Amino acid sequence: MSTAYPFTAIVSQDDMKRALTIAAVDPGIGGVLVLGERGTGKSTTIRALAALLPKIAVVSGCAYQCDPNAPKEQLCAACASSKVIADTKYITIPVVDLPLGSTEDRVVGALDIERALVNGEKVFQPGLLAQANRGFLYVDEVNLLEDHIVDSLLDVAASGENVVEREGLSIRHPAQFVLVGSGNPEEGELRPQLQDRFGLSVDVRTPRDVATRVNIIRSREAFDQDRSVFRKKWARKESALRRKIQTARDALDTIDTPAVLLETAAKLCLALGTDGLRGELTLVRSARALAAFEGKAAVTLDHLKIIAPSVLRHRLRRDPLDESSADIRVERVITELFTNNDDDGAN
Amino acid sequence: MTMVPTETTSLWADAEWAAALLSLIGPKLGGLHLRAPPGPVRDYWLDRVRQLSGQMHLRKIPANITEGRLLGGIDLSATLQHGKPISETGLLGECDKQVVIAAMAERLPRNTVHYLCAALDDGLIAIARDGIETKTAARITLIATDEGTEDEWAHAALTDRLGLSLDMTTLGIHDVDDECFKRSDVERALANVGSVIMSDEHLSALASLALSLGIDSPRSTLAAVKVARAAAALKQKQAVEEEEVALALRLCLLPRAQQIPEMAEPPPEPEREPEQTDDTEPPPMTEQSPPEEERLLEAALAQLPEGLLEKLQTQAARLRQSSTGTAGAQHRHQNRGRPTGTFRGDHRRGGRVNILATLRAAAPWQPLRRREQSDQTAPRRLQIKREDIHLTRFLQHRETLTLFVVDASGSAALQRLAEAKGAVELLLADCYIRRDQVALIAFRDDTAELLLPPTRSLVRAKKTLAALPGGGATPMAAALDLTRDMAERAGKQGTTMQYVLLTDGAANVARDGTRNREAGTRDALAAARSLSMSPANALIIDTAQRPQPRAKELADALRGAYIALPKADAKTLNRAIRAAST
Repeated sequence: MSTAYPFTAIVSQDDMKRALTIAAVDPGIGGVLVLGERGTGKSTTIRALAALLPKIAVVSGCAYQCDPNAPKEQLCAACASSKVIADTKYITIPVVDLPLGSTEDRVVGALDIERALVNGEKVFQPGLLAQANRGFLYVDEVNLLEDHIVDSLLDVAASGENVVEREGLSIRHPAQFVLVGSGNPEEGELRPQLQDRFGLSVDVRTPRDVATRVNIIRSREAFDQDRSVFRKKWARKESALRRKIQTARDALDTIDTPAVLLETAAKLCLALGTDGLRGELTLVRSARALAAFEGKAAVTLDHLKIIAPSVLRHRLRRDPLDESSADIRVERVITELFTNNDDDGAN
Repeated sequence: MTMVPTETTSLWADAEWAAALLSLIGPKLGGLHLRAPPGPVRDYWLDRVRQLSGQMHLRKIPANITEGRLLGGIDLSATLQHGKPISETGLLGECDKQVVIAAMAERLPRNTVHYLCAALDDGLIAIARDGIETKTAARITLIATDEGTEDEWAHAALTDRLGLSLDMTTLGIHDVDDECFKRSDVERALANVGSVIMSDEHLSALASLALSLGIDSPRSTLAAVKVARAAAALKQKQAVEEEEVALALRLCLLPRAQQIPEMAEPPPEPEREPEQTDDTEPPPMTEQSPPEEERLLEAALAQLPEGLLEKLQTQAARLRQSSTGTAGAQHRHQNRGRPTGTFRGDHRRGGRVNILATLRAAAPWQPLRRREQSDQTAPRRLQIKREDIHLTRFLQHRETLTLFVVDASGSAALQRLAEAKGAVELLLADCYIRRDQVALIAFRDDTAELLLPPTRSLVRAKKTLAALPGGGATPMAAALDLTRDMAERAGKQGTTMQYVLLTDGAANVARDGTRNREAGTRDALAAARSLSMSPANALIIDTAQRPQPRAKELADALRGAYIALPKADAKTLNRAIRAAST
């Protein structure tokens, strides 16, 4: 990880950075989808996040990074049936890359063929989903992923559990991960089912002003010149951000969520006609994560306002007459709603 | 000593520069996009790359390379021999720190393109397939050649990652000039390339030039900066000067231009301020005090060979088009014949045996089968039975449907319906050759009608078309809505659809059936926007006697290519259509 570009050194792209930070603070938000043109630093930013993630306690030797303090039903079979108190070790939250062209056996796991052939043992070889348990699963070019892999991903992401029934194996293991996807919509569309599964979505564009672009080039050049020197230069900022994320994670449960906020979130979703409760829940959770990240004791409407476009833009019901303007619609409703709130003196 | 190209730059000198730069900082640049027909010039240039890079053998990536060979994966014979999975390095891993050629890059399948992109981005190959999970260093310098024919272009995602771009389509063997560099120049420059200074002015000049040329991706600018520095190092300079900036502009930015910057037009027309042209002292240009980058751009443009600007313009148009129009279709192509899983099957009925899945199926039975084996002294060998055999499942080739949407209303029909019919007939012949399906929608008076559902029958299509009557109002919105329905249906069936809309753009029937130009146009544009969200490719042919902006507006809303029907016979039109739909 020492060769990754530092997260804090990434120029502009605030929306993307905020969404990823929030997902790091509250993994329950449901993942981040990053869509944008070529060369906007999508994968650079996402890979950079790995260096900022705090450590977690895991059962040592467990292939699924089980939490030693979790209730039994959230553990893998081995950890759940273990009678002794498990050894605990601390690891950095894993960020697992799902390479394009991955085969299903490596994603969900399969029979360990070597042991089967040599010793005749039927042993499960965990896949990428196992490695990603309690961490992040990053799919670059998520829009180009094979349909059958997408199907297994969706299924597991929804249930938090990977069930493998193949080659005479019958295995289930916990697989709770934050799904982070990126892609260039020009190169292929994302299936709508997949899109809805992401908690937050951001559109990234290349900055258009010369100063920012010069800035990008300068720092990228410096990074290419000598990666370790560059990383050292940013090390202080990186660890400050890491601490901030850790603090926010710890404080998450103590953040106060006023009733007016829940109400506004509901109104917002109602006005935009988003399907289901998921939008509302994610809206509140992400606003809370943002408040925690900013070190606030309570969520305010401002937090809601900042995060709303990322939460809602991909959840709007497709209106054939008004398709191209999801962002504008969200913004319009926010403006209307918040002006009213101001009149009531609720802000 | 080095002979460095002087002010009068020739294309060959630039090619020499490109070869030297690739040898010097290849992995940092990603590589080079080479447009050149196969022939002695290209071979000679590749020879120069060999000499300058000191790498005598350039590996080639064939367009039909398999995923396993490209990335690495299971080594079939070793695996069978040892009874456990043994991996082999793929071609990309083998070519770490080397120059590799992807010949005919325009033919590379979509997934190969993406693996190459991943290798160029990360300098390594991560694989998780066939029971193997590894990372292999793959810091390649890629030379992607495409043949330089008019209608085929390497994929933008790939060329975007290749820092240099060289077009040798116009170079003949007599243009090949002296060698400007030797291997020793490259070796000497290696030591200095890191310490070359580049001023902020030059850097922002390149950045704003990229912007004014409409280049969105910062990658190209980054490459230009690196090229400028490396060029200075090759000339043993301590700092980048203007000529290096101009070189970087020529090699990295101009070939990717999406638009011609306004100031690149010939100097301000005299008629703008006719009275001032007599004043010899301040030429009109200085009035606007052109900033550094404009001057640079102008200088670079002046150095370009004749005719290149025009070419740039058509190229820009094509690039714009390819970034939107064909995206859906390209995405579809990636599925053609891709392995998508395995199933138990009989290999004698055809199909490719998936060795890993077969071993997996056989593995649990090995102890049992060994016990059953009568001869216990026989060497322990894998016992694979027919029922273990697993085959790879491939996704089939997708069907293509070409939908013709013909405006048969009075305004369009009177003039050009006959010609449009002729053009469609010619296109039909084309579709037949490609085994495409065709369908026909006609719209006039109150409704749009699917006159011919998707079919391969050329005869039926011809008959339906011939019998098409003309006259009446133009229910454009209804036609576009119907087209969208067709696109959705095609999408569900896994068919790639493209449509050709022949109209004069004069919509005058609203969705609710009222005849009103304003409402008709508004509804038509709304329907067009909604249709533009479908992945179907669009081609709009303006059939108006005098092309008017309304059809162009419609084409923009549809995000499709637009062609005004030339005043010519159907054959000319057909040529135009073919050119636009590539």
